[in-house]
Amino acid sequence: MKPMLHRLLRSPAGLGGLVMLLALLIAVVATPLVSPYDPYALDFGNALLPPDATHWFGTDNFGRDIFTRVLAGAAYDLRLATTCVFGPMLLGILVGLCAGYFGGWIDVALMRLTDVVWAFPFYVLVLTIVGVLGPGEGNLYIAFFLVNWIGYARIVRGETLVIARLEYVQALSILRFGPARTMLRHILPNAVTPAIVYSMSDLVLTVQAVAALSFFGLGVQPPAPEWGLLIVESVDYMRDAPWMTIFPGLAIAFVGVAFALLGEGLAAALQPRG
Amino acid sequence: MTLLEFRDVSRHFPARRSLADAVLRRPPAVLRAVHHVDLSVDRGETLGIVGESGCGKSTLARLAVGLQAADEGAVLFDGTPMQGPDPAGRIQMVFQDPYSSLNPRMTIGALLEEVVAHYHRDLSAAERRAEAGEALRRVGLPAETADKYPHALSGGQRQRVSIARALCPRPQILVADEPVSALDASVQAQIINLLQRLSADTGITILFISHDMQVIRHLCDRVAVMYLGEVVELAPVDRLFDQPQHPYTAGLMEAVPDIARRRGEPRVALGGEMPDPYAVIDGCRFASRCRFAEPRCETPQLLTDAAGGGLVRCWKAPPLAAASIQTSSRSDLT
Repeated sequence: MKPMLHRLLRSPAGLGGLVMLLALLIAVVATPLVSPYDPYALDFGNALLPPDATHWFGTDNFGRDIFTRVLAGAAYDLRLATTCVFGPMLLGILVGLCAGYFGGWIDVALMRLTDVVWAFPFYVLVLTIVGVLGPGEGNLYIAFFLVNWIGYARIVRGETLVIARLEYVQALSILRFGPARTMLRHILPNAVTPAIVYSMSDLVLTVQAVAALSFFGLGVQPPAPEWGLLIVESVDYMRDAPWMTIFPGLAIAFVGVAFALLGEGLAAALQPRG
Repeated sequence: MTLLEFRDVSRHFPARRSLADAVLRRPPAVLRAVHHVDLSVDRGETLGIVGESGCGKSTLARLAVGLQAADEGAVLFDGTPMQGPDPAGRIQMVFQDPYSSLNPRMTIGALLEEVVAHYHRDLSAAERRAEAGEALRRVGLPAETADKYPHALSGGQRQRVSIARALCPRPQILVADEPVSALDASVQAQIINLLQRLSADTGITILFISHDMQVIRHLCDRVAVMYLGEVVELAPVDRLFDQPQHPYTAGLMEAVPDIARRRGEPRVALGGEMPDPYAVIDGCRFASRCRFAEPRCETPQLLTDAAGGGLVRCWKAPPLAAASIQTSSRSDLT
């Protein structure tokens, strides 16, 4: 564990991504403590002010400070993205392990199930779910949990198929180790690396998908400061107050780059040999 | 005294059928990896199994440890038929590839302690560590090895760890499937010596599988020669090497590079390739490559007592007694 963290910090990409995310997290936690602005309070006297020393990112059409709202939005988007990635990831890893390790009809059944889910375009599925259940953050979770595990199941299954044939796993079955111990303790640590690396790019995509769904009115509802919502609210003012669009957009890009760098660093750090 | 017995064991692998085969109801082709093998391993001996790639010797090893089940016949341990790997860990295996036979994410110590804990649940953590250290000592590795990861070890060291892991459950039989084939010659000798010392010190029974005649000669008490899933000759090591009686055994001997042989001295190498294992004949399976083949070789051949000891599956082998070719009786080999 220790050498892994060490290797992560030594790789420029991993270090960069980690620093960016930590900076964002500190800003998100610290801003409400020091900022004089409330992300929800209306102040029509100060509407649509351009960025300056008092409002770093300017203000929106209701006079709310955009810097404060962007950082408040980070809490929404990071919470949604991490939940919608790591929750399904656990499920997908378990499914992939079982399919690859047990093989036979278990493998066939689980993989056909992934094919079925895979066959629906993601946004069509979300539209259906939201159409039936109504828009809102909770239904967004349902949509992501139904879909996001598939990539992990496939990746981990492939790795497991290879590893289960290795001689050290055969030695375990001669030693009569049970399937749970063999899978979780001996196969999983060697099969999970590509899934972890994939989860970083999945986070990038999920942040964008959350923003996009809110943009279409299917996800988080106003007046929440979610980044996609910030952008959709800015559309009418884009010509006169471009800062309303630019800064939430940059925030999405910032998080995307941070996760991508972290993913690259992790890919190098998680290899068993240095 | 027999410890492990293969009683008329067969293991067949059906080939994948294409859709056309299924539609036309053609029966699937069957690979007879191990075909009606009778073999007994005596307590304390080192039995070698030798043959070319694809002769079924690895399948035999996997049958012995219970990684695969026999399609016909049975594998008996101490007279009791085995179902899968032995719960008490009395048969353990050492694999060929030292690079894939250890979990790359576990230290050697953690790996060995886990095996110890699995078989001796009542031991304390300190006792487990001591036991793992003892296993390392037995295979000639320093105690510090326990803190290392497999990637910090050489191929020979890894193979020693593999042997240590196999010894942790205190097995009575060690099945070694080409344990030195992936190693340098000098390291090979160390591992062979280690196995020899284990056999001498602890009396452990070893089933040693190899394609290397020199290694077999050095290590084994008795040798079974396999060809296309059948045992073609079984004999004490000295008899086998001094007077090989099956033409295939003789061919394998000829193929061994010999430093003492003069340059230019003729050698009769085995010609040809192994025939298609999916289409073997009822008669002598070696006939297609045999210099001495005659029409009579197309009739099924039985393992019969051989002159000088052991068994041989060839009607042309020098008879033990004039009438013995016709009998299929097998004498006890001790």
